[in-house]
Amino acid sequence: MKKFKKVSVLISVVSLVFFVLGFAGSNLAFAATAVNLGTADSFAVLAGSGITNSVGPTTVVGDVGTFPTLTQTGFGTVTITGTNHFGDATTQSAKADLVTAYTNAGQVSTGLISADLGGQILTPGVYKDNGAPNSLSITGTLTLDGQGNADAVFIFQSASTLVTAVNSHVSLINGAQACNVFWQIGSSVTLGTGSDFKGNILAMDSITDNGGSTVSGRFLARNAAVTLNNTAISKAVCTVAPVAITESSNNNTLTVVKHVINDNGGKAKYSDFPLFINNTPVSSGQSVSLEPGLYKITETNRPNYKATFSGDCNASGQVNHGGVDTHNDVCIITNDDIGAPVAVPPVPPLIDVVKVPSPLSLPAGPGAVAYTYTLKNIGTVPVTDITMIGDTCSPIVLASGDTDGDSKLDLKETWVYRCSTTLSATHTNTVVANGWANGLLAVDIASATVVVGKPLDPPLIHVTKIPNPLTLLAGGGMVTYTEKITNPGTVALSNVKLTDDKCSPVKFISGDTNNDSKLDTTETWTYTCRTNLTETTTNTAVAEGQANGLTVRDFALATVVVATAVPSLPDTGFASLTSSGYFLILVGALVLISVMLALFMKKRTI
Amino acid sequence: MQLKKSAKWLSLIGVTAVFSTLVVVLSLILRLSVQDSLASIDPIYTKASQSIFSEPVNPGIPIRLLIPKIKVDAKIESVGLTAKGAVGVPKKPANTAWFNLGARPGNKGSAIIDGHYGRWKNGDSSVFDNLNKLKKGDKIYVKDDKGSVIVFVVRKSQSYDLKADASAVFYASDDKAHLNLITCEGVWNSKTKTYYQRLVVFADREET
Repeated sequence: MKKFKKVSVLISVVSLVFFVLGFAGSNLAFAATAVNLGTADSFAVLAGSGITNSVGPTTVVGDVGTFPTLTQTGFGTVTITGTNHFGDATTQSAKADLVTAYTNAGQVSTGLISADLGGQILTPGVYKDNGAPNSLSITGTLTLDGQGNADAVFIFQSASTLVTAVNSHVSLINGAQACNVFWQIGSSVTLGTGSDFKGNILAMDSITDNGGSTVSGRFLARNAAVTLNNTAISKAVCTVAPVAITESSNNNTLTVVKHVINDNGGKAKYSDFPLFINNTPVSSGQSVSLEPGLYKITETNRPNYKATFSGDCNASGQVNHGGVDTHNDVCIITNDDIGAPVAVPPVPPLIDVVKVPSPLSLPAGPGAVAYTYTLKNIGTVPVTDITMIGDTCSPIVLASGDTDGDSKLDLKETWVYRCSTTLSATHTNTVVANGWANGLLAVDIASATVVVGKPLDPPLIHVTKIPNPLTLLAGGGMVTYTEKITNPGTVALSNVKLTDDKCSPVKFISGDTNNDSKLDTTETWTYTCRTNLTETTTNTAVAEGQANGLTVRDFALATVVVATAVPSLPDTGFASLTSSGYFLILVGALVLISVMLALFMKKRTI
Repeated sequence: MQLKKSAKWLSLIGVTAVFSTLVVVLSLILRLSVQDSLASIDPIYTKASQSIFSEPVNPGIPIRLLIPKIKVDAKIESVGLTAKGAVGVPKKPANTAWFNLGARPGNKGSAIIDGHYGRWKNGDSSVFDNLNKLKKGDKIYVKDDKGSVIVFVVRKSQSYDLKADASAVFYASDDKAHLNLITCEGVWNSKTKTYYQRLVVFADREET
C-alpha cells in the first residue's frame, strides 16, 4: 500500500483531468483518491469484537486479527495463507490505521447514487447513497469501468448498510482493480449467498457472509464482529501483470517509439532511455505481439529530461491494448531536455516514410512479400544517422537514393529501402524511421497489412505533417500545421479521419476532387490546424481510413522548437570606421589650417 | 624670388583645399535636395498624405522601409539570429534588415527592423545614422512584397545597455501590431568592437 501514497497524487491529477474534460460520464462523481490502509493493508480479515467461521471450509489469503475482543470461533476449518495475529500489537496498530483509513474514505462526493447498484456501470469516483434509503445494495451485477486506467479509484459511501443479493457480482473492466475499490459503510455489511464481491470493506460495525461468497478485497470491521461462512477471501493487491513478449506474428502488436529533443544543450540518444512494457524491456521501434489487456509503458529516465506520452498511450503511459478496436498500438515517449536557456532554436528535422507491400494480398495462401520503404526529408535541414527499425522483416536494405553518397538524407533525396519475407497469415507490420539533425530526433512510423488467404486488397493510408514555422522565439507564437493524407494502396478509403493530440480543430481544406467522400488513390486531402505554442512541442497526428472491412492508420510526428532565451540586440555599428573617418577630416582640417597659417606668416615676412 | 616661389606654391595648396571643401559641401547639399525632391514625388508619400491605405489582412514579407522625416528609403533584407543569439544585421549599410523569426510588420506582435549606424569604410553613411531624430508621432512606412504599405507611428525611443533585458523589444504586451527599429548608439567600445548602447524606436501601427 506504500505504492498508493506515491500514486495517489498522480491519480488525483489524472482523475481531475478526466473530471474537467467531462469524461466522468453521466453518473458524475468527484475525483477519488486511493485510501491508504496503513498497516491494515496486510490483513484480509480484521475485526473489533471477534471472528466467527460458521461453516467451513473457509480460505483466507492475507493476515487475520481481532481487537479488542480476542475471540476466534470455528477456525478449525479456516485455511489462512498469511499470519493470524489474534490481538497482538500488529492487529492493534492495524485497527488504529483502520480508523484513519475509514476517515480518509469519507472523501467529498457529488455522485449521489440510488440504493441498488446492480445493473449500473460506473466510472471512477466517489459515490454516496442518496439517502433514500441510507443504504447500498447490489442485486445482479455492478460494473466498475476503469476507463483504461489501472489506477482508477472507486469509493462507495453508505450511511448505514451494504447488502448484496444472492449470487450478486461486482465486475471490473478496463483496468479497474479490486485494490482500488473502497466501501465505507456506516453500520454493517451482509453479503448474500454466493456473492462475487470486489473491494475493501471498511465497516463501522459487523461484516457477515451468508455463505459461499468469493471476495477479492478485505473485511475490515472497526467495532463489531466478522462472520465467515464457506468464504474465499483474498486481500486485493494492485498488480501490474507481467508480459510475455514475443515477436509480432499477428495483427495485434504494441510498438514503443522513443523520441528525443535536445534543444537546450542535452546530448542523450534514444538508446539512453531503456524502455519497458509492464517492466519487461523493449527497444524503441520493436513491435511486440501482446494479449489484449492494459499495459503500462515506462522508461529509465535521465536527469534533466522530461517525458510526455503520445499516440495510443494516455498521459501516464497506459494503453488499453486490443480493446474494442483492435489495431496495432503505437506509444510514443518524447523526452525533452531541460537546460540553459537558448536564444537560437535548433531547427528540427522532419522525415517521412511510406511502406508499400507487394503483393497486397496472397489469395492462394502463404507466399513471398516484398516491402518497399520510401524515405523522404520533408524538413529544411539534412538528416543524419538514419535507422529503419522493422518488425518481422529483415534485413531492410537501402537500395537507392543517397545520390551524393554522404550518408545524409538531403532535402531533395528520396531513399528507397527494400525487404523481402514470407507470410503465412494476414499480417500488419510496422517500420519506425529515425534520423538526427541539430540534436533532435526525427521519427516517422509506417504500417502495412498483407492479407493472406483471401482475394482482398487491404487499405493503405499515409499522412505527412509540416509545421510552419519550425522554430519560434522565446515566448512562442502561432504555428500552422499542414497535413496531407494520401492513399498509396489500390482501394478507395472511406471514413477518413485525422486527429492531432495537441492541435484542434483540424480543418479539412481540399482534396476530395470527385466529392465522393472517399480518399481515392489519386487524391491528396489537405488539412490545416493552427495553435499557439509556448514551449517546444512534438505533436502526433493520426490518420485513419477504412476499406474492405479493414481499418488502417498512419502517424505523423512533428516538432516545433521554441527558444528559451530572449535574443540579444543586433550589432549594428561601424564605429571604428566612423572614427577613422572623423580622423581623416580632422587631419585634413589641421593641414588646411597650418597651410593657411604658413601662407599668412610668409606674406607677413615679405 | 625664393620667397615669391614658395608663396605661389602655398597659395596653390590653399586654393585647392578651399575648392575641395566647396565641392564636398556642395555635393552634400545636392544629395539632400535630390532626396527631398525624390520624397516629394514618391507615390507612397503622396498616398500617405491622402490616407488611403488599404489594411492588408495578411501582410507579406517587408521589402522597403520609408521614413520621410530622416530621409530613409531603404531596402529591407531578411535576417535571423546569429550563432550567438543576436538579431542579424543587414549586409549593406544602406539597407535595413527585418528579423524574420519575429512578427511581420503589420501582424500582431512586435516586428523588428534594424539598420547600421556610423560611417562605412568608403565613407558612406549608414541608414539609421539619424534614427535618434525620430520623435513621437513621426511616421514610418513599410512596403511588403504584395504591394501593400503599412503605416506605423513612433511612440517613443529608448536606449538599451547591451546587457539590459530587451524582452520589451521583442514581445508586445497587447494584441496590436508594432514595429521596433533598432540601431547602435553611444560610445564605441574598441575592445568589443561595438557600441555600448542600442537605440530602439518603438512604433505602433497607425489606427485607421
